[in-house]
Amino acid sequence: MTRAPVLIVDDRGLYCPKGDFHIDPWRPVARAVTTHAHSDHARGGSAAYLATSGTAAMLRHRLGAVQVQTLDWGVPLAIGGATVSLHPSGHLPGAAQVRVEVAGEVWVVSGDYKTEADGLAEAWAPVACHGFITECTFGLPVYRWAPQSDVAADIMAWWHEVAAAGDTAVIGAYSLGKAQRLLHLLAAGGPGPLLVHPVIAASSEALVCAGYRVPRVPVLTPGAAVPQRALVLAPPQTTGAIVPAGGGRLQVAAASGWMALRGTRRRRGGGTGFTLSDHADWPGLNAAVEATGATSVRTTHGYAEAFARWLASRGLDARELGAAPAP
Amino acid sequence: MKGLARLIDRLEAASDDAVRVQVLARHLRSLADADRVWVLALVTGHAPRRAVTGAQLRAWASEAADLPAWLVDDSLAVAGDLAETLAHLLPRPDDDDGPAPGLAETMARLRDIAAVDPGARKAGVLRLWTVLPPEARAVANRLLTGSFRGVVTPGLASRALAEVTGGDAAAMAQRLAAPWDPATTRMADLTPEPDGALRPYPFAPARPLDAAPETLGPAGDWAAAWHFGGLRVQAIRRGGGWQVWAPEGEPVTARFPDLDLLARLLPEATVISGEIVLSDPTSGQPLPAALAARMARKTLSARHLADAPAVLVAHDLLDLAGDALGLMPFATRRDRLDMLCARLPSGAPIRPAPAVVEEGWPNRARALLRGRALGARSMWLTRRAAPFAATEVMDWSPPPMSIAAVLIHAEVGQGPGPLAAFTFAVRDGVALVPVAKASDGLPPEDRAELSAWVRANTTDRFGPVRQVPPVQVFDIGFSAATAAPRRKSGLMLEALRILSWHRDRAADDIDTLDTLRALSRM
Ligand SMILES: [Zn+2]
Ligand SMILES: [Zn+2]
Repeated sequence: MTRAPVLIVDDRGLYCPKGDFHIDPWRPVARAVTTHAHSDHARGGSAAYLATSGTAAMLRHRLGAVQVQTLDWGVPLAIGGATVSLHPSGHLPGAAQVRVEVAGEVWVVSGDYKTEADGLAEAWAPVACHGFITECTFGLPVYRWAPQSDVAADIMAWWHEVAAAGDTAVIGAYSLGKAQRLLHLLAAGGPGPLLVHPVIAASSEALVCAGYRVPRVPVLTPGAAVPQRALVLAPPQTTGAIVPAGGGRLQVAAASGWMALRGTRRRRGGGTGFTLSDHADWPGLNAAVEATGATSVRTTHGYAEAFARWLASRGLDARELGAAPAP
Repeated sequence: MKGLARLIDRLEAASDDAVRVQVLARHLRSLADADRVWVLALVTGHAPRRAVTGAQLRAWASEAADLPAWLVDDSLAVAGDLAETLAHLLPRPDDDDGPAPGLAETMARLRDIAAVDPGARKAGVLRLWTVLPPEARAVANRLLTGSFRGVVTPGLASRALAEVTGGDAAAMAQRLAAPWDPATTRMADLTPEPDGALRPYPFAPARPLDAAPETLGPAGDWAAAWHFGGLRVQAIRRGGGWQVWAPEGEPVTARFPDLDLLARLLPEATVISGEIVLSDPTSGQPLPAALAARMARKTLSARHLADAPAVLVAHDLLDLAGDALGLMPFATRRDRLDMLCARLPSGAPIRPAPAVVEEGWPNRARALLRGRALGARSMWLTRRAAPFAATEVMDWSPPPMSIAAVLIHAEVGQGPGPLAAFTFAVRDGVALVPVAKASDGLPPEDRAELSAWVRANTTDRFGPVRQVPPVQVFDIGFSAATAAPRRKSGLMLEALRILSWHRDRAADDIDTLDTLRALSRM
């Protein structure tokens, strides 16, 4: 028996024909189910959005007055001939996996996810399904994250070093997600004050309004010198403009999964790097695929071809999302 | 080891040297001495030799991780570095297994791996991988495959070390730059006391002996030893450290890693004065060109060290095991030096300067001519009774060239005194060809004796010239032999000097004109 697919890829992105909605479309659509508010997943211009309340708050913060319907975690919503529910992906506060059920066949769209609980975002949990559409930003076996407590200790040690040298520590971090995760990890105290760039403060405020416990810290005054021994969190493109504490200089670090490999670190500017990712690592991806029980896996976002080939070699019906099935 | 990996990242990422010094100093402060030594060794590039190949490591990691070759290839293409790729392919160690081994312990394990038969190294590598986090594994893999590189200069490392321990960064830099084995080096060895415990004594002046040695007084007052024209040095083992100084006030320790063994063989608080000689390992002949090349070379290859190993030719002993010997006469110091060297293992890169056994100036003068055969450049004469402060070395060099020639004429001067000049000949076939007329160099007693012999044995005379039977053989020194077509020999010898009188040598045992012609072409 051949059934119509639950999800297909059309010219605007992942589409559910039975429910007539897109998930994270890359062009404006009538109805977008949005996994999370990062710009590569949530583009402006769609007529209506469906998201968790956390993501909805971020969407309004980012896109202004958009029409967003919110859906609580795990609550099924019938859309046309499909049933949709949202489940934590652990990627950032409010970030969701999308479960789509059509006539008893269940597909889960992972969105961006990480399997390690970070204490701030709702923790990822596997959602049982027949088909799993998984991101694989870090879908190679060389990517294995250390526990975030290790990374936090590493960052803290660096901050102490920088402060001891009379310099100013700056971490370039995306204003939504990574910055708040760092705030959460580092707010307990260091050798000096923790500050954030105004752009990060605004994102944090939006999350606080949505009910998340993002630590409130002083906001950097652009152009003014930073207090002694401070650590500043700022969007990557703004770090160079920060005025260090008197007599010192800036020491800038990055926090990202891309910092895991020396070669990548060098290609991305060669500064100090902390491997702190909001995406699943290789063991996380494999564990997630296994935990869903899915027999069909479609890979997207990252090393999609290699990860699909790997899963196929393990006996799964796996291929890159949008690729033709193997003959 | 993970701390080292993190440190290397920080050092590589640091914006300038001032930051690097701070980063390294801070890291050193956080470490126990055993790990400090290793950190200093590794960041300055003192890494062990390769124990396994990259291909072996790759095969073992792929197998242990149970990954297909294409996936390892894909990973390698992304990571760009084999050691790092393989390090990340295996699971992180379980936290329940306790803390990962520290740096010193990891290095000991690496050493153990290298120590076993190459076929048996896999098990040790796999065991090491299971206990190290990936970041540390990457460093271990580089060390295993010999691809580990230092990240800072010894100068920078010493600045950091000096911040931590106090002391003279320059002296530490020299120490760090020299090859040393972190496994056997203690922190104290790397941190000389700030009071300059490793500074040399002043070098005893050495002067060329221009005049006849007789002008120095009785030969018995002077100790004579062979000098090889090496690099004058003081080698200092003190405060756990080891430093070799040249007279120009520069330590040259790093240039002579082949002497580092002495740091462990010599008693603590010992200072030796001598010369460093590089020689051919088979013939033992000194290689002055190799010495010059080594001083000029930026890096010393293993081949360079093996082709021309250094040895410390010891001339004087200034301190021995904490005793300052400077007030003792040179003869006593020299005896102690001989005893010290005799106690060291035969392979030790040191030997006392060979004493000239001949007594008396004429015998020594004759010996001087044979010095070249020993590879010696000159004879060093030191007054036996001199304390160190009064020690002065007279450098007695043989003339650049010499021949054995026979006396054929002598010239009488004014009055009844000794003869004024002597003419010498070499053989050309069966004939004797005069080649040199010399008056200088013969000691007074020899000159008197020879004059008496000439007078008693004159066979013919024309004017002041006395002809004698060709039986007395002399060594004649000269600086050059140049073409002189109008002379019978065709050659003129410059800066002639009578070196010595071979009373025991037969006249058929002299040089030939061909020999002289060969010398003229040199
Ligand atoms: Zn995202
Ligand atoms: Zn994304």
